[in-house]
Amino acid sequence: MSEIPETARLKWNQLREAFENYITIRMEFHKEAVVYTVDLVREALEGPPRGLNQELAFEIADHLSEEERFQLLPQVLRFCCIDRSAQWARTFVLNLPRQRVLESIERLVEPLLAEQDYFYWLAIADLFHCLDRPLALKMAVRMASHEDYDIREWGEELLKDFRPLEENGEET
Amino acid sequence: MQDDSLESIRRVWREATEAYDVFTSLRAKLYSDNRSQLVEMVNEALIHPQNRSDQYLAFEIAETLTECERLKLLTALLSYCSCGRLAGQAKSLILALPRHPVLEVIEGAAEPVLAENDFLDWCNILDVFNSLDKELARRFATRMAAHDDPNIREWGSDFLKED
Repeated sequence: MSEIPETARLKWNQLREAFENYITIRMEFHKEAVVYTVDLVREALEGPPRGLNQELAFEIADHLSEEERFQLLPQVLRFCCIDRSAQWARTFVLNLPRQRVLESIERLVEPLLAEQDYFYWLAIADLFHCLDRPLALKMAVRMASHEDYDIREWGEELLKDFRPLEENGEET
Repeated sequence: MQDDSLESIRRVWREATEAYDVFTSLRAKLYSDNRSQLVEMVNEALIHPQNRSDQYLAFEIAETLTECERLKLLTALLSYCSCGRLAGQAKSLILALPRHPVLEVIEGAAEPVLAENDFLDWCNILDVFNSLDKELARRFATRMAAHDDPNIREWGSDFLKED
């Protein structure tokens, strides 16, 4: 590997100090907040979008216990539908205990689907696809009979994945 | 909860937000100004850390590097596979890399670590190899079973028996 310039080393050292400071304060937060941690993270997730509060909430949420993370599922689902945070949110959901998520997720996504935003439907269908095949099929069927043309068309496309390969004109 | 306690928690949250802002701004600056040296800096922080923060920061940044860049960290990451709290993270970073390019270079990358002849390094590298490729693990265990160190030898023999 090549030589590291002195200016780059200086920047690394500054970054390390900032990292140390951030981690120290975050530990202080965990020590002080204790049972209020989830409430504060939830408050930040529900707050104005794109703020630092939300970015910090993502960071802290990742380090919570499974039970605490599960409590944030309703708030996190919305982020599955927002481009810049979709990957984080999807990983967050998929890292939760699958069975528990399956027991509540259909009910929890309803408010999002009720907004009738095409991209929300796509994002939720994509999440269901990663979570559970029967759930994904159910969603595809629902989309394929939706009154919105774009959602319906996408649902029909998704349904093709559930048909036997020969029906799709592919070789088995 | 009393108002003053809640206010105190909110104050710490605000401080954490500010500290996170400083950290992410400096990180963004390092990415924009020194992207080409970033992998070298992470490697140095892993191999010659000034303190534990250096190690944790290196792992934090390593997560964001490209697969190609992370491949260059392979020797350093393998040396962390027996390093307490960071071992799991090191193994995850290695196993998240595309299998074929890793298999092409990992034996060579492991040599500097194995040269230290630390029993735990040998065991953990066998564990990584086993997660990557059974044949590679068997070959490595055979090498271990013929090692001068009786502990490494025994571990290799036991692996082969169970295989």
